[in-house]
Amino acid sequence: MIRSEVIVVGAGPAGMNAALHAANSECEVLLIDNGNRLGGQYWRHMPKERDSLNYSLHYDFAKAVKLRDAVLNHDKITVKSQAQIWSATANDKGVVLHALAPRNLGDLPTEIVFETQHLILATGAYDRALPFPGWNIPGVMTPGAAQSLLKGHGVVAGKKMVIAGTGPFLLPVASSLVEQGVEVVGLFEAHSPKRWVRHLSVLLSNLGKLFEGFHYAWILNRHAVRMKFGYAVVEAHASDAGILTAVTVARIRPDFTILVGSEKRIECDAAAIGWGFTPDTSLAGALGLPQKVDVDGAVVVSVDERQVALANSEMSVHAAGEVTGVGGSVLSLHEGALAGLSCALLRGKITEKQYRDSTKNIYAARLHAEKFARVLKDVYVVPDGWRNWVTPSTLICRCEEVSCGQVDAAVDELGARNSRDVKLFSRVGMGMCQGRVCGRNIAGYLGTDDADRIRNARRPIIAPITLGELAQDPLL
Amino acid sequence: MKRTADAVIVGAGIVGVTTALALTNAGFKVVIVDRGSVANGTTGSGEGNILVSDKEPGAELELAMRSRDGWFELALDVGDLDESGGFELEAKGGVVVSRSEDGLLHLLKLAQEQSKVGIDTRALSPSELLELEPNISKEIPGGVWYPQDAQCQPMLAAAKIMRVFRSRGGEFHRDTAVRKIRTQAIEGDLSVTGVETDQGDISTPLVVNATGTWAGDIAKMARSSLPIAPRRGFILVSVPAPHLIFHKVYDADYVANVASGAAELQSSAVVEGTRSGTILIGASRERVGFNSDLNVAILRQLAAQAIELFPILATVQLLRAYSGFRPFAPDHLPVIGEDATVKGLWHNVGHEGAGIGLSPASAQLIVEMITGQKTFMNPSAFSPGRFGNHE
Ligand SMILES: Cc1cc2nc3c(=O)[nH]c(=O)nc-3n(C[C@H](O)[C@H](O)[C@H](O)COP(=O)(O)OP(=O)(O)OC[C@H]3O[C@@H](n4cnc5c(N)ncnc54)[C@H](O)[C@@H]3O)c2cc1C
Ligand SMILES: Cc1cc2nc3c(=O)[nH]c(=O)nc-3n(C[C@H](O)[C@H](O)[C@H](O)COP(=O)(O)OP(=O)(O)OC[C@H]3O[C@@H](n4cnc5c(N)ncnc54)[C@H](O)[C@@H]3O)c2cc1C
Repeated sequence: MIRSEVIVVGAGPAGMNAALHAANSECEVLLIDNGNRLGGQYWRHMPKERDSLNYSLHYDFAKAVKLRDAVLNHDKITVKSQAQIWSATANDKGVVLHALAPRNLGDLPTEIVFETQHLILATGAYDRALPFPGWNIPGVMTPGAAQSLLKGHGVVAGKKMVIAGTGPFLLPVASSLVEQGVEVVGLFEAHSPKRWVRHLSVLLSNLGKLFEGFHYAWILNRHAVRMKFGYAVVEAHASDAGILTAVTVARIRPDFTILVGSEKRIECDAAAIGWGFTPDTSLAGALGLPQKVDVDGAVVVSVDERQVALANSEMSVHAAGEVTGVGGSVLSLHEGALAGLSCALLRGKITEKQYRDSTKNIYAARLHAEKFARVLKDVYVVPDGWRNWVTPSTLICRCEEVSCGQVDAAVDELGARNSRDVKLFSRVGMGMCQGRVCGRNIAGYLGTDDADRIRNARRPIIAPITLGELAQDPLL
Repeated sequence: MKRTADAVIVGAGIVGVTTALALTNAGFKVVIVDRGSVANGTTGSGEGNILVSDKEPGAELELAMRSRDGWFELALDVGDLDESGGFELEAKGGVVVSRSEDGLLHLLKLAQEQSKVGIDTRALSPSELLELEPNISKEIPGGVWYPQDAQCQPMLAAAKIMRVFRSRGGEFHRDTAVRKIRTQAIEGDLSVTGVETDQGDISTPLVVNATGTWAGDIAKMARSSLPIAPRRGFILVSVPAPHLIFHKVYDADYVANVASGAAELQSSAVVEGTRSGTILIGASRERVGFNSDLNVAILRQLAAQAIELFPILATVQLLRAYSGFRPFAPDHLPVIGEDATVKGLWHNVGHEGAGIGLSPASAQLIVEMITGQKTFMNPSAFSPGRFGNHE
């Protein structure tokens, strides 16, 4: 058993900044993350020998390096990388985390138990896929997967690629792929840029974001790639060997229904399609933290002003970053800072006055970033119209190969009404991903209420562990 | 909602739906109510084993033998000629093993007694065992083969039975919680006159309590009592790993655990492969109320015990784990019959870890009693009156 005054889970922008702020206020911090190196999803680094490439892949990598080095060099922070938390429990005295990790670098992973009275949860988000005919063909992936192939392994997903979906994240992905020599044969944003018109003032007060956008647009322009608006990939086609050969794109309305007759086929050998992000609430659910459904339909941890999700006189759980609502790296950084300082306050390391003095600017900055995040959620919403891209034979759950038609049958013939019924009757969401990919889509397909979405996002085993690893006595 | 019915069944678990279908087939106008949906209670966490192997000769084994055949009849009735009933019913057979020579002697003796009352049993040498289960540990001295043991997917079974029940005129109200059982003194006897739910009232002379682990609450609503308590069990589910385990295989210690009344944790390995390829690992038993917190120590013990039977499982990944609450009666026997003090209130509850397997025969028995027919077995061992008054 390893105890620490404060434990932070997740070494993305939120977790790193939380660790740094708590440690700067004299808390002993243990930072746990499942990656090989610090950074989280967006700043996920390549192996050291490719550090130079990181700069070309990230708009603001210098910022990431600065934060990473501050964390690594801090004598109050211990970093535990490659540690996957697979189970966790909370009671009124504290939190117990069961992780699978090498005891020393290079060892095989074994179980290690961590305990703390003050946890900061910063488990981030992963990108969202929507089902459509052919989405399960090898070669169709999310932009995040394409990017992590590139960042993590230096591999490009295809020679001729289509990039589609919605959200500002499509731009950096497309830019980094063209820079690596990929021919981007189509870049499609589902929404019209006119949706920004209502939010011009917010856009103008976020010039940094605008410049970041221009930066990517400039790279794309240099490679003669132009974004088309109001289109979505609605079908993918495979060769007899089952390999991706082409996709069909179509014009879609703001509610995501297809304009019939607008379809056209584009040859490609890979397609990266993403529909925003889904917060990773697995650990939060296992701990029984309060959750809610955000305006974008995602289940998130619900926190107060100070990023507190749960607290009593003896223990606390804070949450920061995407797990409390998708908002980008800047918002994540501010939330992390607030969580770290609030933890220090609860530990008595700083006074209420010091807390207020040091957080005043951060509160203002968080509010500013939140406003921008809300606008993004409005501009890049994902309405339920995708439900008419699917056919009865389209798989909705790839792991268990359950089709939309089978879900319909569970509803029409067996009387299923909610996610749990459908799962029990059709095996939807019971496979390898445990609903991480399909759970949100199934709730959307069924049109269920918030309580159902929150219940359905609960999975007590956070990550797979072999029975042999589980059977061994943990490190005590 | 219908305002009157010949019978109201409370609870749409496997026991409720099988009882409802049997009563409908006997000509009753039946309404089922459940505070959730079908298979919303313990049935939704059951493994679906239909076992004769784990019971000593006696009333429960008699019920189990009838029920095993009852499942195959039910499959034909609801399954549109599909022998699996559309709910994965399969006579896959059970393999019971012992890890010690001593235990094996005990097991062989039990099998001998079981075969006297008509159970098909066959002693297995280590090499025969390996033929049935190639991945089983070579350390195991032997076991017994029970070809009659079967399996189904209980949630699908409940849903399909419900569908046929409705197609025959039955009515189902989901999200409808029973709040009170109405009674009236008629000729000195307290008799049922209806149920009150949060969605309205239904007049009926006959209420069947099929609320499993929550049966005591319903009894109390009629000012009667039943000593049913939750006995928690955890199940581990692996990633799909087909062709590793072919039957239901369990350690003979399981029989002793099932029969124990102790509150503290007991566990023994119960391992089986399912049609979907996943491997299910049980079984723990403990009485900790309705606490569903994941307990890693129990998961660890279950994993270790399963690996002792099948070393190859050490490399298989655990995908999920869940717990459920078996409806436990102090003597481990189900409660089937009319309430000792309230006329018209019938109980079909308390099937503990065997409610899936025992449901068709329990339904048959209670309907035979309700309609005054000759019962296929003597039901006195299951009588609700056997506990006395627990108020
Ligand atoms: C592929 C991708 C690209 C993105 N690109 C951009 C971009 O260009 N610009 C932008 O502003 N935003 C981008 N985002 C959004 C991005 O998620 C956030 O901006 C930011 O990374 C969120 O920070 P975070 O600290 O909340 O979480 P993350 O950065 O996601 O970090 C969470 C960390 O926690 C770890 N973790 C989670 N659960 C466990 C567990 N059980 N055990 C151990 N470790 C665990 C994760 O592996 C991860 O390392 C991108 C997101 C993704 C997925
Ligand atoms: C881990 C585990 C594994 C198991 N494996 C097996 C196995 O392999 N084989 C086997 O035979 N058995 C097994 N069992 C046991 C089996 O699951 C139960 O015996 C069986 O499901 C009980 O069914 P039931 O219909 O009596 O109860 P339930 O399925 O619990 O149904 C009772 C219903 O009553 C409803 N209800 C309760 N109160 C009210 C109210 N006031 N108003 C309205 N509705 C109400 C509930 O919502 C519920 O749906 C297992 C159990 C567990 C926990």
